[in-house]
Formats: sequence, C-alpha cells, structure tokens
Amino acid sequence: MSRVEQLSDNIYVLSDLEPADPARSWLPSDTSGFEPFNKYVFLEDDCALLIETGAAAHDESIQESLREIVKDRLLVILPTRSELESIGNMGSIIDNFPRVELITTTRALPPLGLAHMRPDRRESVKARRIVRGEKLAGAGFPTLDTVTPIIRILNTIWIHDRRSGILFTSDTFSNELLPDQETPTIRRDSFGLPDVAAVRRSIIARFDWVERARTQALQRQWADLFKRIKPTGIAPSLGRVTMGADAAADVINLYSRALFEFSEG
Amino acid sequence: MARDGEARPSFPREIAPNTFWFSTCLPFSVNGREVHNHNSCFLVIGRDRVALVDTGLPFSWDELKGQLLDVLAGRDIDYVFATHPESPHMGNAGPLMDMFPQAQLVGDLRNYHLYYPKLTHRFSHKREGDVLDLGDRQLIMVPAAVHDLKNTLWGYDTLHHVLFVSDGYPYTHEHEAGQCALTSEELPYAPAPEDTGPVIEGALGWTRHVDAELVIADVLEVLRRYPPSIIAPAHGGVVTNPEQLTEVFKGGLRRVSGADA
Repeated sequence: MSRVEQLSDNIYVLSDLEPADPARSWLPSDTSGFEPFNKYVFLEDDCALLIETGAAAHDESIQESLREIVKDRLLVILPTRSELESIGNMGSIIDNFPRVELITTTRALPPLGLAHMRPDRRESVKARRIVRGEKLAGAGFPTLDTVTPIIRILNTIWIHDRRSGILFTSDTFSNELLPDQETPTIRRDSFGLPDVAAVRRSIIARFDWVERARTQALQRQWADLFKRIKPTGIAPSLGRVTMGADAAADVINLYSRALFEFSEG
Repeated sequence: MARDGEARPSFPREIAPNTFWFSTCLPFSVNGREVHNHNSCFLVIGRDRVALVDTGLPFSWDELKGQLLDVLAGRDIDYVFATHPESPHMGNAGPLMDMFPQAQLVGDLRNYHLYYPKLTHRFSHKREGDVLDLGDRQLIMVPAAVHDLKNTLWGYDTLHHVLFVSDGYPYTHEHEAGQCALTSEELPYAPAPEDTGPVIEGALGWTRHVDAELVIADVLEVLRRYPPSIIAPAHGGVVTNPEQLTEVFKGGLRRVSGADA
C-alpha cells in the first residue's frame, strides 16, 4: 500500500517513499533522507481524478491504494507531464480499472499512445487532450483549473482547486525530502523548512537551466501568478506537501528567494 | 530537393551504410491543416553488434516492430540506447527488451530502476565518453548540448560520423504528409529557424530564459569534438547538410531566447 494522507475532505495524497539517492539525476549530491513520490486523488460523488500515475516501481502499492479510495467511481487519469514519474503506471492502471478515462496535455500525441496497454483498452477507453488554461469542469471536476507553470522542463501543467485552494505543482516545489520514514508527507506549518541555499541547490539539480537563466521575465510571471492565486496548499509530485495558507506562503517566498534572489557569492 | 513524380523515400530508410532511420510519424491538425511530426529512432548495425538509438512511441509499436525485424534480418539488437527517459525516446524500451532477451539497456540510467524495476540486471550505465563497441564501428556517448531532461546523452558513430542528437535540431517536427522520410536537402523548401519552434518552444521551453549564445557555444563544442557528416534528430528530418542546418538551429535558439523579456 502507498502511504495515504488526507489534504482536505475530498483530496488524498498517495506517497511511495524512496531512499534519497544522490545518484538520482534530479537530487543534489548532499541529499539525504527519503523522497516521497506523490499521486493525488481528487474525489467527486461519481468520479475520481488521479493526478500522476507514479513510477512503475510503485505500481502494485498504488493500485491497491487506489482501489480502496476510488471504489466504483469513474477514474479519470491526468498526468502533468510525459516523464516516467507521471505516466509510469498509465498503461497498467488503464488495463486494471474497469471504468477509466484519460486526459493529457500532449499537443500532438494521441493520449493513449504514450504508454503500452492492452489493445482492447486502447480502442475502448475514452481519452482526450486539454490545453493549459482550460478548466476541468467538462471532465466532471468543476472546481479545477489548469495553470501554466512558471518553472518547468517538459510540457507540463499545474492544477488549481478553487474549492480547497490547493495548487498541484508537478515537479516544481518538489525539493523538500523527509528526514525519516515516520515523518508525514504533509507539513502543516513552516517549522524546519530547508534554508534558501539548500533549496537553490535542489532546484538547480532538477532544473539545470535555471543556473544560466535570465530570471527577470520568470520573476514577473511568478509574481503575477501568486498575486492571482493564493494557495492554501502546495502539492508537488515529488517531495513534501505543504498545507495551510501561511505555510504555503512561506514556501512560495522561500522558492522565490532561491530562484530570483539567491547568489552563491 | 525532391522533384514531382519521383518516388518518395519511406521508412525504414538507410541514411548511411548499415544505419537505418525509423520514425513513428504522427499526423495531427494545426489550424485545420494536417501536419506530421517525427518521433524517430535509428538502428546502427555493426559487424558484431547492433544498437538502437531511441525507441519511438508506444502507439506505433506494432508497425515499428515489423520494420525493425525486416531490417535486422535475423540479427538481434544488443543495445537499446534510450537517449533520455521520456515517452518518445524510451516508450518502447520494455517490449524491445522482451523481444531481445540478451539486449542491454544503455544510457544515463540513474533513475531507471524506478521505471523498469525488473530489468535492473540488464542495465549498462553509460556516461559521456563511454563507448559501445559494435565491431567495425563504435557508438560514443556524447554530452547532450541541448536537452530537456538532464540525464540525456547524444551518440556519435565513429565509422560514418552520424551524430544522434535526440531533441536537438528539431527543424521539421511539423511537416507535410509525404515529407516524412525526406532529408534536410530533399525537402521542397529550405528549412528556416521558425521551423524549429514547435519543439524549442515546447520541450525546450527553457531556452526562452537562457542566452542563446551560451547554448550555441555548447552545440559548437560538441560539433568540434564530434564532427558530423549526418545529424540524426528524433524530432526532425535527418540532416545531410550539417553546416546549413546548424545555422537554422542557431537561428531557432536565438529566435526564442529572451522572447519573454
């Protein structure tokens, strides 16, 4: 079973922990602790949205946890990008869940063409593309909007839930690991946040282009976004989740400093 | 350039001796116009061993499998080299490893135990400068001067000087039907910097925020160390005039750099 924690009355995070291996391409060399690989389940009465399908190494635990939470609802899958932490179990979940649909943000690729699955499922499962900025009301989730990410590598979407205020941020805000396996994935205050230098190192380890970036335009876009959206939770696909408006604001401020103000000198 | 009435090349296409181009080319609509995009992979056949550079997309696996088996003519693939862990580049790695049970998965595999946990005993981790010996030719692992995911490697064939550049040189990711297997010199138009836009602005969106001259310097350094006769991108037609298309690629990088400023 994945570790299941509750973000709000209808949103769950499923975490599978991996030891923090400095050899992992997106972690800095001084990393330690445990890295949560997060999948989110957003429940409505008749349907459930799964944000990310997780890495293949966690397939069994994810599916077992999903079955318990989703029950007989229609399961709608939405990966935030085409990286293997997002689409790693897309095929197996589509094969194993009888009532399933798929949404992707791919521009040209057929959504069901991103992963291997049984031919009968490829032919019968309903799938469609959405574009960044589109709302998910048509898919059965009237409070969810897609958001254009500020920091990204691949084509990526963020998702904002207007009801809970939670912002799902894919591979951004993903830089805080757990010191041990007993620490919850969700932090509910700002106590013990990593320092700005550590966050900067971690950002560069993943988004290597940031080191050489001219950040004026990014900073402007960042400020515009967080003027418009005041998250009450920050929910990345990797790393710790933050809940609570004050803690979320502190995390956003920490990342802003790490991205736009920090200097190694 | 291709002339009307001539038979159009098709896939698989031999771009250098014993070097074959496959593409899971995908039709889609842009503003009501049907265009295709490349998601290519390349078979490099040596005297003793065979390597596949990138693996294509899952949606066209059946078609790709048949084409590969035809070209292989009974030989096996020994190395499956996924340039990086994204669906267009390693999406068929699983079935390929099933089909060729002696094959090794090669590349920068730092995270692959999370993606293929049952295949870890067949991993061969590579870094820049490492070499795959195919017998009469070698495939060198080359730093990916332009990449999305940082665990990307390019490849260089020492015999025919083919440089495999993954997401680099993406100048015809959107091309007309009938142009899928045309090289850069066979297209009925001269590629221009704006033709690189769909990939550079999408998968390589970070280039908006980085000085293009820094990126270009990295590209030129790779070209100096590994001078190509042919450049083989995953998301563009095969380049048979590297100097001219390098200018197009440079123009594409300069075009988007600072666009948001």
